[in-house]
Amino acid sequence: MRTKPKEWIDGIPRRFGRRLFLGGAALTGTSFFRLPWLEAFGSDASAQPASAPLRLILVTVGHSLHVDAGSSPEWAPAQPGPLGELPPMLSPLASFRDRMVILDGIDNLVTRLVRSNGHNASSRTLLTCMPHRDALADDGSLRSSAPELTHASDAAGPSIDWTIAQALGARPLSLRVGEQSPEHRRHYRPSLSEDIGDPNPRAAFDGLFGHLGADPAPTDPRELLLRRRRSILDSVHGTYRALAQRVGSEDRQRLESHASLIREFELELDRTVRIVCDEPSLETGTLPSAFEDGRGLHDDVIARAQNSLAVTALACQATPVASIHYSNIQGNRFPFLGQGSDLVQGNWHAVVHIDEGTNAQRMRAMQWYHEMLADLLAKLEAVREGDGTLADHTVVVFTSSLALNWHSTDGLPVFLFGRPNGSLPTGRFLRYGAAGMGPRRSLGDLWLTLRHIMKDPAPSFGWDRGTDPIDGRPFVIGPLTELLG
Amino acid sequence: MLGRTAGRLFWALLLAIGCEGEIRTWGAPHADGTPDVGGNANPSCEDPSPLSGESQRLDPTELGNAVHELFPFLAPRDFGFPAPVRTNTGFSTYPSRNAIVLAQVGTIADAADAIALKSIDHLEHLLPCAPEAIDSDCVSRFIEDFAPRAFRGAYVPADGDRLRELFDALRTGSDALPPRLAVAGVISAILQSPGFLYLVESGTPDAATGARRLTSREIANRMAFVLWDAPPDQALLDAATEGRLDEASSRRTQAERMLEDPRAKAAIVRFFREWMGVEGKYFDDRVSPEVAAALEEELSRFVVDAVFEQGEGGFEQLVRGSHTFVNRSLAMHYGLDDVPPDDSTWQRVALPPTLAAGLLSRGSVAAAHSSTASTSFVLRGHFVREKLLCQSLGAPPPGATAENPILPESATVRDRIEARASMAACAPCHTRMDYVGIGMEDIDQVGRYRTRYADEKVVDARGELVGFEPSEFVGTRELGARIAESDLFATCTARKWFRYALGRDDDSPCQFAPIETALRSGKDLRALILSVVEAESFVLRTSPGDRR
Repeated sequence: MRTKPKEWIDGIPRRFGRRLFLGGAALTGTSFFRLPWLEAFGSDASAQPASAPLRLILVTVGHSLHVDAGSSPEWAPAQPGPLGELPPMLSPLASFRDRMVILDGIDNLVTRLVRSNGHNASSRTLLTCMPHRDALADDGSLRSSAPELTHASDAAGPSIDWTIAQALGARPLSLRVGEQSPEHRRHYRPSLSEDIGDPNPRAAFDGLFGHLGADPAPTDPRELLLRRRRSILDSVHGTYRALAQRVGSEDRQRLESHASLIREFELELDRTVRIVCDEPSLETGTLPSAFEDGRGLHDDVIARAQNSLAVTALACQATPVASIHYSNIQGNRFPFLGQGSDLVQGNWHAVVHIDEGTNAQRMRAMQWYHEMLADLLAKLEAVREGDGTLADHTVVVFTSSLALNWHSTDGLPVFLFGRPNGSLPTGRFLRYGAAGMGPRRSLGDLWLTLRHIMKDPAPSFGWDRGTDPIDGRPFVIGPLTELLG
Repeated sequence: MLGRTAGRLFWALLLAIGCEGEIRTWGAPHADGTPDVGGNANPSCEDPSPLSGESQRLDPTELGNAVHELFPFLAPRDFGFPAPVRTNTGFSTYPSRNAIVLAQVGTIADAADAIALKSIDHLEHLLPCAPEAIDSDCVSRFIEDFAPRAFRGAYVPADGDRLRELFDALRTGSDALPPRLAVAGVISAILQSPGFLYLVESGTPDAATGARRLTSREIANRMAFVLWDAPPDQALLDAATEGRLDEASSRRTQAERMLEDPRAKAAIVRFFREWMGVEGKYFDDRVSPEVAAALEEELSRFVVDAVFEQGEGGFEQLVRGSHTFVNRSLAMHYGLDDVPPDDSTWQRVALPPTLAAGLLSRGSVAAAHSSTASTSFVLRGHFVREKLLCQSLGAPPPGATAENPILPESATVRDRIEARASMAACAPCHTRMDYVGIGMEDIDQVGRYRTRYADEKVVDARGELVGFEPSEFVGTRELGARIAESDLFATCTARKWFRYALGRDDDSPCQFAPIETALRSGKDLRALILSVVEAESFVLRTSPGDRR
């Protein structure tokens, strides 16, 4: 029995610690992921509460899954109802079919409120369902002539992952596969500061678990200095506050907001992490030295490592909510899918907009995202928990910020996975707007439903005032009861 | 081309929908029917209003130079301070582009810690006492000397008190640091402070205008970071101490001296790179690494020549230049007759007329406004309108982005443009961009002249500058000539330099009128660069809270 149940570790800055992460072992397939420290879980009831907590993983991409400009979305089965054979694009998910719900008829209506570049608008509203802060007047109403949503615009609401995590008294783990692109921001904290996510699984692992291996009496000067980071930040914070009083009002705001981010960062250092596993460890393939090359040259390795990390974090109960954002949108090459050369030689952005490239290239690339999703699901199933596996206590949601090949946000692909205590009947394809299903629904309704599934039965989510300016539809009606079964 | 007259009327009617909020810069008629060409409507400008004040956060190059200034034993380089957000709009000097996000607080702390830890091996050069004999008095004297220099004038005695308290705190407790490391902690705190990271401009109230006038030290700081990407040198600090920088003519004298310094060249090239949109990695695998490196170097040499060597006429060279600088790889890339013997030999060469469009036909600029595999008439048209003519297109209106015309594979570039021009939501802005872009099709995505595409189709480079008279042109070279003759280009160039130098994306024509005048009088880019320091706007700030 190696597992120490319910260990509390607190008061130690999370950026401390020696590197527990073991890189360099080139393993593939299922052997890629090992959790020896979890072996004890299923067999010892005392180590595991009767009902394991519910967890959530959100996976998003920033482009449409569309392959052929002339056809209907290739991810949607022909007919609503029980899931039969999956469309070819989703074939990597075949073995998870009975755990899966495919949803069609979900529209992000909030993009209709903002003036912006199509990626910017769709990405920043995807998880917040809110227009940007400049678009709102002081009383929270929508300004009649709102300024453009730019790369510098602030969010007007927290993203769904932060919202749910906060309701569960936790902080989500945000992971990224790819570069940080100003056009594809999506995660925002309750303080509305942006959460850019960690592109480096090694660093993210250290952030979560590094303190477990911290040397109680370090001699390395860097570690010694790190240990006093809070004192240093306190002093720096004071300097920002003091200078803010000596400058003009706009500048004051800028320096005050820097000061408040310093405070927020200090709170992260103080985070108390409660975990249920003893020696979290992670093995990966050979990780690259650069995680944001913009071309996704090693995204197959990085994505699998991020999947492992998300599963580890959930299994250890370091957080109940994790997200993985595939953020490369300009230069993706997929060298690991080509026959000795890059799958995509041109500009990936133009390829997903179906301005360049071939249908075969698009289909292969889209399938890859679903292979990575299957990898994540398999890793959840590999962790025994209670009478079943971690997958039984985890809802996985996959979606994209764009629907069709151009910048439409109507009809987003939405796949849900789980068997969360039967509250999410699976093995179905639901199409809102089709006969017998009622009208098309909004993304706000979807995220509201997710809050309900995650035991956070709030009345609303995101922007819920008035109706959209194009079709006059309400932004939020209520939970998708058909989805809940 | 689509029924032209009918088409124009159509766009004019739709303008208010498509280019919402941007009509004033767009040539929409005034009430009296005269078009607004976006130029300087009120050239007298006796009382320009001051710029709003927000401190600009310095970029990694500038901070690297500032670190070197404080720690001469550390060579200037990128120390890992966070870079501005990379976008294709605006300049890195805009406060909106260097706004801080939470993750950067840790990045800054890591960078500051790393520099501080390096510095403790050189404490004998920093401390007024022996590193073995560090005590409170020694640290106190160190702080009083070092922190004011690091904060570049934005230092008050209370800052020193706070740093002394930090030193004392770091020396106590169960995890007390040894004296050297406690000094490192103080240094790290200094490097994370606003006085170091930002270009602080608090100024002093100006009785005449009600605005705030920058202090002499703040003027010196801005001059140095604009013209050198580095902190002021001793001569500039002396001029500040003697109060000379309050006079426009003295600022000019200093700026002339500063442009002789090699650091000025890299700093000025940075402005042109950002203006031309050549930031980040644009070449991908479109060219060999040798050619990619040469294209970068070519841009620098071309700009340095235009600004520092060409004198009058240098301005027009930007879009009409019939020469460039090549090494062997680049001459072969462009297909020139005159090929230098190797890649380390750079020669100034005359270009064939087909490539004589200054920066418009240079490979780096071409690549920056193309997709990887082909040219993009949209990106090129957008570049000309927004960056060269300062005609803001704004964002697509809600709903405009949902549709993209679906055309057969065999559709020509012109077919694609006309399909979009026939769509109500797209036409108002896209006709302004796309018909400019198609006129540049004779230059490929890496700057080579072409008459046929790879599939042997003939290139059709008949373009149109909608809103200009005459509007039609053929090819990039004619477009360059048309731009050079346009009043908008001079106004726009002055505006871009003003915005970059002041780090402000919100200005009025009066604020940069003197700079525009300086450019127009001699068409001399060096005069343009210098003129900004003379402007009253350079030294005045305001904010909504200030009373006028």
